[in-house]
Amino acid sequence: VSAVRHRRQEGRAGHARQGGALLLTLLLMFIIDAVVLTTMYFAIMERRLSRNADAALRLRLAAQSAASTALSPWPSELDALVPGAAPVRVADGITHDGVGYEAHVEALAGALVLVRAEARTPAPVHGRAAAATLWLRPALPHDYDVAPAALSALTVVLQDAATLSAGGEPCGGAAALRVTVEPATGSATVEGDIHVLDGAADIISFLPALLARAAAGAPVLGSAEDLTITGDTAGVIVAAGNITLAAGTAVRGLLIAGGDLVIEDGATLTGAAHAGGAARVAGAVVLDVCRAIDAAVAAALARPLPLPRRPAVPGF
Amino acid sequence: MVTVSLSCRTGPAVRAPATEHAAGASLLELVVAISLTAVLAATVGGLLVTQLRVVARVAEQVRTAETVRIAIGVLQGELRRVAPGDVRAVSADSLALRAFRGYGIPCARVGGSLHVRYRGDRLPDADKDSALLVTAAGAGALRLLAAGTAAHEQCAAGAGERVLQLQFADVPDDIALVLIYESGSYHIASRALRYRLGGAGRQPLTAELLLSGSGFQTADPDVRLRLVTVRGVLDVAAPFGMGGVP
Repeated sequence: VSAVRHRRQEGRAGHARQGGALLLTLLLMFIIDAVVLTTMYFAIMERRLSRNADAALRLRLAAQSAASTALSPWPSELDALVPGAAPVRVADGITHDGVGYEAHVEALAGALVLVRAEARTPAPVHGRAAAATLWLRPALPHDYDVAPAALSALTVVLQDAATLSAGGEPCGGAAALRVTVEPATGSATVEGDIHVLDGAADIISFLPALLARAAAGAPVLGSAEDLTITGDTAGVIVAAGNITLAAGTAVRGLLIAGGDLVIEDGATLTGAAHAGGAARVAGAVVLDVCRAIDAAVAAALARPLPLPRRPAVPGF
Repeated sequence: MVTVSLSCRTGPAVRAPATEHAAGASLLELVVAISLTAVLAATVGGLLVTQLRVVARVAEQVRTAETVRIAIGVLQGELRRVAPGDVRAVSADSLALRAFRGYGIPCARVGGSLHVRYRGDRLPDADKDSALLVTAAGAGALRLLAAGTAAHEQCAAGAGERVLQLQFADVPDDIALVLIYESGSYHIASRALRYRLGGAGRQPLTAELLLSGSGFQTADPDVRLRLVTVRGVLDVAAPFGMGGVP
C-alpha cells in the first residue's frame, strides 16, 4: 500500500514538473509568436504601403506623361477647336504596366488650351490620378512658309537708297516681293529679278495668335501697338501696329507688322518681313530664308507651347 | 494472475533503494530545480523585457515613419500643385503658400459673376478662399471670392464637374481659367507638422513624433524646396510645379 501511495505521489510530482515546463514553453512560444506576428504585421503593412505608394506614383506619372505628350504633335483637327466646344480626346491607351490613360483638350479664351489627362487602374486597385497643363496653341500652321519672299505687304515702296537682295545659297532664295498691288520700286537697287507673288495678307491673319504668344511670355518680341527698333536684335518680332527699323540698326529674323513696315536708311533686315499695310524701304533687305525659319523654329511658332508663366495647373 | 501477484509482492522490495535515493536526492533536485528555474526565469524574463523593448521601439519607429510619411505626403501633394510664385515664404520651420483646392473653366458670364465648370478637392468657400484668374494671355489676376453657389442650369457639366456661380468684386473680360486657393502655412512646431489657415491657429496634421531638427530647407526657392523630416535620415526634395510639366 505504501508503495502504491509513493508511486502515486511520485506520479503527481512528475506531472507537476511537466506542467511547469509546459507553461514556460507556452509562455516562451507566446512571446516568440507575438514578436513574429508583430514583425510580420509591420512587414505586411509596410509592403502594402509601399505598393500603394508605387501604384499612386505610376498613376500620377501616367497622367502627367499623357498631359505632357498629348499635343505632340498637334492634331490638325484641333485647329477648329473653339472655346465652349466639348473637349476633344487626343490620347488614350494603356501603359506597359497596365495603367489606362486618356487625355482631352479643351479650348479656353484666347490662344490657351487646357489638356486634362486622367489615369486609372482597374479593380481591385481602383486607382485614379489626374494632371492638367495649359498650352498655347500653334501660332502658325504646320509647315507654313514663313519666308516665301523678302517682303510681303499690301504694297512695297523701295525708295532711292533701298537695296533688295538675296542671301547666300541655299538659304537665300529669290529676292521676291509678295504684294497685293504692284510695287512702286522707284530707283532702288535690286539684285536679281523681283518676283511678285500673290497674297500678302494670309500671314497677317495669324497676328492675334502671334501677339498672344508674345503676351504670354513666349520667345517672341511683341507689341500690341507700334514698335520702333533702335538697336540690333534677332528673332521673331511682331506688332499690331507699325514696325520701324531705325537708321543704323541691324535686325535678323522674321518681322510681322499689322500696319506698315518702315526700314529707314541705313537699317538692315536679314531674313524676311511681312506687313498688313505698306512696306516702305530706304535701307537694305536681305532675304535669308534660313534666318527666318530659324527664328520661327526657335519661337516654336508652328508648335503648341506650354504656357510659360504657369504650364501646370492642379489636376483634380 | 500469477504474474500480477508476484509483481505486487516484489514491488516494494525492488523499489526500496530507489525510494531512499529519491528521498535523499529531493533536496538536491530541489536546489537544481530552483536554480534551473531561476536561470530559466531570468533568461525568459530578460528575453521578455528585451522583446518588449524591441516591440516598443519598432512600434515607435513605425509611428515615426507613419508621421514622416504623412508629412511628406501632405507637403508633396500641395507642392505638386504650385508654381514658384505660389510659395510666399519659406523659413526653417514654416512654409507659407497658396494651396489650390480646385479650378473652374468659365462657361458663362452673368453680370459680375462667372459660371464655371468646377473640379476640385472641395467646393469653394467664400469664407476662406480666393481666386487666381488666369487671363487669355496667361497672366494671373487675384480676386477675393465673394460667393460660390451651384448653378446647374447655366452650363452643361462634364463627368466629375459641377457648375458653380462664382462672384467677385470685378472680373476681367478675358478670363480663361479660375484657380481656387486658400492661403495657408505649414509649420513644424512641437515635433508635429501643423497647418494654419489664414489667421487661424495651427492645427496638427501629424503626431508629435518628428525629431528635433526637422524643418524646411531651400537653397534656391525658384527651383527646389527640401523638407528634412528626420535629421540625416530622410531628406525629401519636392520640385515646384510638378503637375505634369515637361
